[in-house]
Amino acid sequence: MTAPESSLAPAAPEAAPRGRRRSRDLTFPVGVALVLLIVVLALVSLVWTPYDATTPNPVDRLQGGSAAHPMGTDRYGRDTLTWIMMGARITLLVGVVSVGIAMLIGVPLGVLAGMTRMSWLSGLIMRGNDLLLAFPALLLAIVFSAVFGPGAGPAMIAIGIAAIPAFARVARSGTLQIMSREFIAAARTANRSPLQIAIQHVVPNIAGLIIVQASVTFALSVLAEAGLSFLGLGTQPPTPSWGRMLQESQQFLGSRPELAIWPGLFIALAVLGFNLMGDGLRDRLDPTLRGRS
Amino acid sequence: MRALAFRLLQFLLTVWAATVAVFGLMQILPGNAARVAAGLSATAEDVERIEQKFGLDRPLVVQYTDWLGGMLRGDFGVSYVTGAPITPLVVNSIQVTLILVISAMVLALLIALPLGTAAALLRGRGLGTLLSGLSQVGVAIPNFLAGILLVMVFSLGLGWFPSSGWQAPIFGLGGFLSHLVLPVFALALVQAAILTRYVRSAVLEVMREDYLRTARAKGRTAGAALVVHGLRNAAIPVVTVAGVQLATLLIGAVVIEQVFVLPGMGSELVRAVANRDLLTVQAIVMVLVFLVLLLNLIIDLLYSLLDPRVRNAA
Amino acid sequence: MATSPLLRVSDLTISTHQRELVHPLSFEIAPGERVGLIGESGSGKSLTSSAVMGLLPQELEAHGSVELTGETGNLLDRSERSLASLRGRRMSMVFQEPMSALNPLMRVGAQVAEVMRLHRTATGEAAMRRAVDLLAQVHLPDPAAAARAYPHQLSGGQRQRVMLAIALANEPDLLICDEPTTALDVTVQSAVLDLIDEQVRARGTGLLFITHDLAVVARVCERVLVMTQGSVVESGSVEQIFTDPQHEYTRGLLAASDLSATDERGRLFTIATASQYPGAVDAAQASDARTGTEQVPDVRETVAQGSDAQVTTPQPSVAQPAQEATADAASGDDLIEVTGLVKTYTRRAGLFRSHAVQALKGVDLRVRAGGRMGIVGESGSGKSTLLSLLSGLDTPTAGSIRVGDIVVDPRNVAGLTAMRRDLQIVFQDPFASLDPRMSVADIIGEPLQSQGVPRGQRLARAEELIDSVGLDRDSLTRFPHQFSGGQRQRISIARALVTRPRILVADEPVSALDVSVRAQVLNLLADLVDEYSLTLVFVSHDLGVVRHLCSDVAVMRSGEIVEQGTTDQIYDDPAHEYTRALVAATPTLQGAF
Repeated sequence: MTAPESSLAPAAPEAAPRGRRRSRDLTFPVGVALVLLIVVLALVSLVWTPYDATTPNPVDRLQGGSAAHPMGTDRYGRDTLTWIMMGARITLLVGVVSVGIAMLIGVPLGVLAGMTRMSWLSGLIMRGNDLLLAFPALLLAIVFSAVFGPGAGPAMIAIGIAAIPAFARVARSGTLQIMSREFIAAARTANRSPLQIAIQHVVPNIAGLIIVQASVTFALSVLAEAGLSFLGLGTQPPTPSWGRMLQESQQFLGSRPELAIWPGLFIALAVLGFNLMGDGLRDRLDPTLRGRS
Repeated sequence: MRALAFRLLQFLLTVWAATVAVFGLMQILPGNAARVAAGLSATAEDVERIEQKFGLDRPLVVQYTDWLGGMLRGDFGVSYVTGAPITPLVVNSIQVTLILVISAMVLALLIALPLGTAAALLRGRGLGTLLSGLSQVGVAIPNFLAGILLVMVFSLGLGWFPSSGWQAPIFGLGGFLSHLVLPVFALALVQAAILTRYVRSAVLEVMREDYLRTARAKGRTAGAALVVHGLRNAAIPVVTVAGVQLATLLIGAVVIEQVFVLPGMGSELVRAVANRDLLTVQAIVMVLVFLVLLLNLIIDLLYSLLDPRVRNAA
Repeated sequence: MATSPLLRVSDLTISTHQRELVHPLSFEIAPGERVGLIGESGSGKSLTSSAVMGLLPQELEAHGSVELTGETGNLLDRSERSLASLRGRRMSMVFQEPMSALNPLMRVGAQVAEVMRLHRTATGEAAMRRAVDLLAQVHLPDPAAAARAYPHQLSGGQRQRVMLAIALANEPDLLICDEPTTALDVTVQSAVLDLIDEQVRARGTGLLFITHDLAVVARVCERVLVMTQGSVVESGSVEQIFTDPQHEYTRGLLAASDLSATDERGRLFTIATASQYPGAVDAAQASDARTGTEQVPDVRETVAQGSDAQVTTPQPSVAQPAQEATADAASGDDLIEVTGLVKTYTRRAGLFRSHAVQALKGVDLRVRAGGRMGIVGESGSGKSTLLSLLSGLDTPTAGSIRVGDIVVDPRNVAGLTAMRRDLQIVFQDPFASLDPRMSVADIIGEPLQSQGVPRGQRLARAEELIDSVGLDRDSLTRFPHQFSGGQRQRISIARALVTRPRILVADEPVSALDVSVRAQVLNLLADLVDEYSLTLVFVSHDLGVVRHLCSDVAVMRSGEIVEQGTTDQIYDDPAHEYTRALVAATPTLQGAF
C-alpha cells in the first residue's frame, strides 16, 4: 500500500532522505576534524616536537615504529613523527598564502567582471582568465622554480596565481546571478553607488561560494605543493615537507614502506579534510544563496 | 560555420598570448640566461661568448620573433647548456606522455561512467554511500602516492609488473604494456575518483529534470527514462569536465614520469629545470600549454556537437 | 453518475515520513467528464495528480486507492513497470513548465513519435507521420518543420502544444493538465485553453484540470473540486460553485478572485470580508448597472441569473475610487512625460557581427499628477524596458523622459538623485527583490541611507512604514526568508515609500502571489496611494488587475503603445484590434457564464 515506485525497491522512499541526511551530517564535521588535526599538529610543532628535526642520529637510522619513535626514523635517523608535525606547517603555510593570493586578486576581478556594464572590460578579464587557465598550478610552479630557483616561496606564489581564475570565475558567475536579482535594481533605484552595491549586496551574497572555493583550492594547493616537493622543486632542505619525505622514501620502498605511508597518509588526510569541509559548506550555504531556506 | 571560425580565431589569439606569456616569464629571471647557462665559475668573457653564440645580446623583440618563427617551422632552437637541438627531444618525449595520458583517461572514463551512474542511482543506500565515500577518498590521494603504493603492492610485493622504466612498442608489445600498466593505473585511479564524483552529480542533476518526468508520463519506467533521455544530457557536463581533467592529467603525468622513470615530457622538464636549461624549459612548457589550449578547443567543439542549443545559437 | 466512473480516487493520502500533505481525499471522474481541481500554492493539488499518474517523488508515499476503469485493482499497488504501460496510453499528463518539459537534445517529432512507438500504437515511419499529423492537429503553423525542430526553437505556447500532442497521441481516456497555461501569456493561454477544450471534447477524453485560476477553470470544466491545505472542501458543478459556494474558503477564493467586485470603500473583497461578497454574477450586474455600460447578453449568463434568484442583493453603494481620484487630480499637470522613447539593444553574436533588438520603438506617454496609469502588455512588449528607463536604470537610445522638473538621464547623477527621491519602485518577485542577507529594517531604510539620513532616523521611518503596511514592528529585526510572499511584497512597498515619493511605480507587484493574498496587497496599494496622494504607474500583464486599480491605461505590444486612454474607454470600447484580442482573451469570472 505504498507508492508504486516502492514495489520495485521497498526500502527506497524511507532510506533516501535518511541516507542523505546522514552523509550530509558527517561530511562537514569529519572535514573540520581533519583540518583541525593538521592545524593542531602544526601549532604543537611550534612549541614542542619529540626530537629535533634536523639533527641526524645515525645510530637510530631506518627504524620501524617503536615507543621511542612511534612512526620510525628515516635514513639519517631523524624521527618521522617530528617531520610529519613540522611538515604540517609548510603545508598550511603554502595553502594559506596561495589561497590568500588567489582570493585577493581573483574575487575583486570576478566581481568587477560581473558588475561592469562595459563589455570590453569583462571580456578582457575573462580572456586573461582563460589564458591563465592554460597554466595549471604545478606547471606554473615548475616554471617559477626554473626562473627564480626552487623553494617554498616561489611555489606559494605560483600556486596562488594559478588559482586566480577559479576564484574569478566563481565570483563572476555569483555576481552575475546576484546582479540579475531585483534587489540590485532596488538598490540602484535607492541611489546606491556601484561600490556600495558591491560591498553591501554582492559580496555578502557570494561569500558562501567564495568560502567553498577557498576550501577546495586549499586542497588543490596541498596537492600541488606535495607534488612540487616530490619533484624536488618545492620546499627545500632543511625545512621538513611531506612531499619530499615521499620522494626520499622511494629508495626504501622494499625495506621501510612506512617511510612512504606516513607522509602519504597525511597528505591524503589534509586534502580529504579540506575537500569534505568544502562539500559540507556547499550543502549548508547553497539554499540561502538561492534565497529560499 | 562563423562560430567555428570565431572559435578558431580565439584559439589562435590565446595561443599567441601564451607564447608571449611564456617568453616573458623566462625573461624575469634575475641575471640572465647566459649567466645561468655558463655556470657559477664563469668569467664575464664566458658569459659574453654564450650571449653572442645564442644571440642573447639582441633586443628581446628580435629574440621573441626568432623563437616564435622557429616554432612555426617546428624548430625549438638549441639548448644553451647541452648545445643539442631541442626539437628531437620534444618529439620523442611527447609520444611517451601522450600514450600515458590518453590511456589513463580512457581507463578513468571506463571506471567512472558506470560507477558514477551507479552512485547516483543508489544515492542514500549503502552501496551508493560507499561509492561516494570511496571516490571522495580517491580524490584526496595524489597520483604519485598512488604510484608508490601500486609499486609497493604489484611490483615489490607481487612482482607482476616492473617498478620503473619504459620500453618502446617496437621492441615488443608485451614489454611495452607491462611497463605501461602501473603508471597508467596510478594516473587513472585518481582520475576515475574525480570523474566519478562529476558523473554522479551530473546524473543526479538530470534526474531532477522535468523532461524525465515527461518521459515517465509517456510510459517509460523511471530507469528507462534515465537511460533514454537522461544519459545524453548528463554527458554534456561530463565532457566539459573530462576535458579540463585531461589537462590536469597532462600535468599529473609530469610527476608520475618521475616516479616510474619514464622518458616523457615531465622527466625532460624536470631535468631541464635542474640543469637550468631555460630554452628547453621554455619549449616544453610551451608545448604543454599548447596541448591544454588545444584540448579546450576540442572540448568546445565536441560540446556544440552534443548540444543543439549551442549549435543553433551560432 | 450511473455509469461506472473513469477514475475513482478513494481515501487518497499523501505523506512524507513525518507529515501528511494530502488528507483522505475521494473523487470520481466520469468518462468524458471535465473536472477542475482548484487550489492555491501548497494546497496539494499537484501532488494529487502526480499520485494518480504514479509520478510522486520517491520520498513521498501515497495510500488509499486509485482505480481506472478497465484496469483491475488499485493503481497505487502496481509496479512501476505496470504503471508505465498505462501512462501515455490510457492516461497522460501535460505539465506547467513548457520550457523544461521536453528533452532539449531530441527533435520534437521524435519526442511525439516516441510515445506511440513505446506503446506500439504506431511504429517506424508511420509513427513519425502520425507525429506530424498530431502537430497539425494542435495547430502548429508548419507541422513538418516543427517536427524537425529542437524544443529551444519553439516558443512556450508552441511547446505546450507539443506536450498536448504527446499527451493525446494514443487517444487516452484520461488527460491530466497541471496548470498548463500558467507560464503563458494571456493571448497564448487563451488559445491553448481553446485547444484543450476542443481536443478533449472531440475525443471524449476525461479531463482533470489543475489550476489556481477560477476564471480559467470555468472555461474548460463542467465540475470543480476546491482544494485547500490538503483537503477537498467543496465540489460541484461550475455553476453551483460560482453562484452558490457553500464552503467559507470557496466563497473567499471567489470573492478575492473577482476583480470587478468591490466593497463600499471601493476595495477588493478578501477572505476576511468575503461574507459581504454578493457573488460573481450579481457583482457583474451591479457594476453594469452602475456604470451603465451595455453588456452583450450572454446565453449562459441568463441561465446563471435564473439559478441564483435567492442570493442576497448586491450592495448598491459600491464606489469607483479610481474615477473619483481622477476627478480630483484632473487639474494637475503631467507629472511624467515620456517623449519619443527608443531603446535599442545591440546583441553581440561574435566578434564582428551584432544585431540590434528594438525593445522600444518610440513611446509617448503622459501621466497626470495624481493619476493612476496602468501599462498593460505581454512578455516582450517592452513594458519592463520602459520601466527601467523611467527609473534611470538604463539609458534611452533616443527620446526623453521628464519626471517633475527633472529630465531623467543616468549620466546626470544629481538629477537622478533628486528624481529617485520622488519616484520609487515596487518589484515583481517577492523572493528576489529583498536582499536575503539584510534585516528588514536595513532593507526599508536603504533608500534613506544614500541620502545620508542617520541610522536612528532611518529606523524611526522604518517603524512608521512597517505600521503603514500592516506588519508587526518585530518584523524589522528579522530577515526576508522568514516572511511569506505577500508579507515580502508589503516590505517592498514600505521600502518604496520610505523616501516619501510622489510617484510609485509598481512592476507586476501581485503576479507572483496567490489570489487571496493578491486582493490584500492590491487593497493595501490602493489605501497607500490615497493616504500618500501618490501618482501610480502600474505595470501588469493582467487586465483585470489594471482595470480595478487604474484610471488610465496604455496597451503595449512589441515596443509600442498601441492604444491609450481612460480605463473605461479602453475596456468597453477598445479601438485597436490587439486590445480587443487582449480583452477577449482575459479570463474573467463573469465571462465564464
